[in-house]
Amino acid sequence: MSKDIKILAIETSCDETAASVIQNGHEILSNVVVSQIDSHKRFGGVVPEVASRHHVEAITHVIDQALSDADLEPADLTAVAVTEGPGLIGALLIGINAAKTFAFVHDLPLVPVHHIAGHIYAAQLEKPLEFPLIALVVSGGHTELVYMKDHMSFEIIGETRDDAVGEAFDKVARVIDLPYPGGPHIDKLAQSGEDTFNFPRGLMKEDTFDFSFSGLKSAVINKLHNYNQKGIEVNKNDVAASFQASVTDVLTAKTFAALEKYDVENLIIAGGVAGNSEIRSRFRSMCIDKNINLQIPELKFCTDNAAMIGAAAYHLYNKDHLADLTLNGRNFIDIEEYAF
Amino acid sequence: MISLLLDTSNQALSVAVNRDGKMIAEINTNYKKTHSETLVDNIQKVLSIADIKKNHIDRIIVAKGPGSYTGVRIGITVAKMLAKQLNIPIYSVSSLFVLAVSNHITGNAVPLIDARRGHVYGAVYNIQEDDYTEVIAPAYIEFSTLAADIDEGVFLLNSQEKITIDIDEYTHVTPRISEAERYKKALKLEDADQLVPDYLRISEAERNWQNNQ
Ligand SMILES: Nc1ncnc2c1ncn2[C@@H]1O[C@H](COP(=O)(O)OP(=O)(O)OP(=O)(O)O)[C@@H](O)[C@H]1O
Ligand SMILES: [Mg+2]
Repeated sequence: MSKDIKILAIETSCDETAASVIQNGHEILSNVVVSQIDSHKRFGGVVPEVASRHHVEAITHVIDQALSDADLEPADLTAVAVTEGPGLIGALLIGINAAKTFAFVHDLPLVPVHHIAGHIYAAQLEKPLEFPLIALVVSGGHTELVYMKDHMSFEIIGETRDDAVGEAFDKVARVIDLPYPGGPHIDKLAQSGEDTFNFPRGLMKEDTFDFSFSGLKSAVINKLHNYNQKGIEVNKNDVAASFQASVTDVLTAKTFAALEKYDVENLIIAGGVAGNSEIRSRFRSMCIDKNINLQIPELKFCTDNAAMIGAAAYHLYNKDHLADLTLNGRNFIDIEEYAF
Repeated sequence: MISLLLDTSNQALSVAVNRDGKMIAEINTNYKKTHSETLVDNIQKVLSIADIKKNHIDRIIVAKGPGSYTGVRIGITVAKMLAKQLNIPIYSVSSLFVLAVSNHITGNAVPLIDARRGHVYGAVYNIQEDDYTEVIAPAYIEFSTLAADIDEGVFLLNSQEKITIDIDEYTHVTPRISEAERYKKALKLEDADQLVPDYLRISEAERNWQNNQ
């Protein structure tokens, strides 16, 4: 009998219904993601009730596909993992109840996973994590610097005081009439724009690893309003480039200061905004200069997926962090409490 | 034939094992604890009380709504997964029908689920011993409109849920899902992959969006 650990992972915390089979924490045997973005676009953002409805429609298909792509039967699996939170509660419940039923029917252990731990462990799909490390988590709902001295040990050393980066991208995108989600569109426009506006860099001069993006967001909105009133045509590419430059400056400055203070040489950038081309390239070149070992997951593992949940679940399974059939979803879970 | 039946459409939960249409074990609760936490656990318990192994289940019967959106989704999700993973057929039944047959009344039964703002999910069934006719199909409707349409019948409502409609006389009911299987006509064979709840309403966001088009 092989000792390979094969985990079926399920993720439904927001607007992606996803399932994946991960072997030994890093080999991707399958990775299925059904995105609901096309449905939520008309609302200009994710509507929780609509998201929950779509998850019910897709859940059995996605799980079947993940197993058949991996060419596995349930009997071949070691465990089932599922995102416990944080996320939209109604959405989480679909994945959790599907995972519990699967675990019950096939007598498999059930591994509950923290969504943000998942985002960080996406890096492990490429190569093993090296510790201590600092993870910069930049997603739709989170912006934080997390210090990890070992597997499944999380200390938040800085976090946003207001908007998450992804949220700021999406809000700014909306005021320049870009479709939802705006992040990738800003990224694209910025490539042919320049930082002409010199928007504020939040909390840059303060001695903290915390972030603030609401001032930046307001500055963009005010500037546009101002131009609008004066009847001046605004160059959207420059707005996008200026906004993105401000974000990138702040993220790099805070992150490198944290690496220095904590004397850490390993950096992971995680979450949907880690897909941003300027953030990726700026961190890459700065990490080469400063001799930092940088890991940024492939684009498709930056946004929500189940492969990252399976990667994190591997360690939780080894540490015997299991749930019983009464597992419930939680819309907020402090990652620091999620240390095993 | 062994059936596993589940209803988590509203505050009450009902999970049962029937053999040849007759109940051999049933768990019913009527309190505020989320079905997400209790459903799969109660399925395991009811099977153990009935002394039935999960691979001896021949079919799943699930209440598909209307009711609490979240509650109905949990029941449907678990039922779909059970049917797929055990490789057995799945049948749906209206949650209102389950209420209509849970108290063993005959004649016109008017099961109601309070839907706030003067509205209910309601239906009218004429129930006989082993058969029934649907007089008014399940609908999301203003309670006064529905009431005006009914000459005679017994209103059925769970008195332990919040009641906001203006109603003086009704009979307390909680779902007993084991009672639904006798009425073969009420059971609809479903494709587990395609099965979705019968919400009877589109979401508020979609309604607003449609109104703005
Ligand atoms: N290339 C890009 N540049 C900037 N932002 C991007 C890019 N690609 C995606 N994003 C942003 O990433 C966010 C989505 O990321 P992700 O899926 O990780 O977030 P989430 O799952 O909604 O939030 P959380 O993980 O915090 O619960 C969106 O705000 C989106 O605009
Ligand atoms: Mg995410």
